Amino acid sequence: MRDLEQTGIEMTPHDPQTERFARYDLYVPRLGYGDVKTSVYFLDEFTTDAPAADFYVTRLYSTRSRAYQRVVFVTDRGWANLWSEKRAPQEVVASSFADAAAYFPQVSRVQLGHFTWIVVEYEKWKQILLQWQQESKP
Amino acid sequence: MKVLDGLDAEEFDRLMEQFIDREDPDAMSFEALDEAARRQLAEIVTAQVEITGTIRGGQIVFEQPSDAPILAHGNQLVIGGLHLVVKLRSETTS
Repeated sequence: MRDLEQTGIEMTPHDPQTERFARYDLYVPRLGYGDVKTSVYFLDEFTTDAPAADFYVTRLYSTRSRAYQRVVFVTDRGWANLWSEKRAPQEVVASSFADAAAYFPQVSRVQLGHFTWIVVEYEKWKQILLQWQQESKP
Repeated sequence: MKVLDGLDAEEFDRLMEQFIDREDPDAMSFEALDEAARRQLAEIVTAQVEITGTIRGGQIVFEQPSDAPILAHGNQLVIGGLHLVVKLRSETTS
């Protein structure tokens, strides 16, 4: 959260004092509700018709780089909200969860059955959000 | 040696990251996530549901299954976001 705030991204963090049982950790305008996960216990969300959040920020181990990488999984619905007639969609490559890190910083689209997930490197995700929010300011 | 109270927020975050990287028992790789998600999806896809229907007036009429999240109405089935309309036609055409 602190990192996002420092980047200047407009968002509303969930306040544990007033919303103790909130289902989300933060809200980002247009993108929607998001959860920050330190583990992948949210695996069920990948194959459900209605994921609880619009995006998930987590960390996975990349065997290629032999390091942990922060990664954001965005629902296709949340991703679509970022683009409009005035703003062309970011290019994505068709990939899999296994290969997504190999394409970083390119954005991947992963098809799981009829579920679509957008996989974005955390830093790239911040960059896209920040750019979008700056462009959207009146 | 610094105690936690003496660390600024940035140092604290960095130390936490190092700790998590070293100790996180739930760490998962991209490949493992891929395999787990696909396995989970396969389990969903192979779930078998039986639906019974009767032919009436040349059309199938489904019975509402009691053990599956499927809505049956006449020759129509609603499964999640999918709306199926099943139409039958005679094998012999004139």
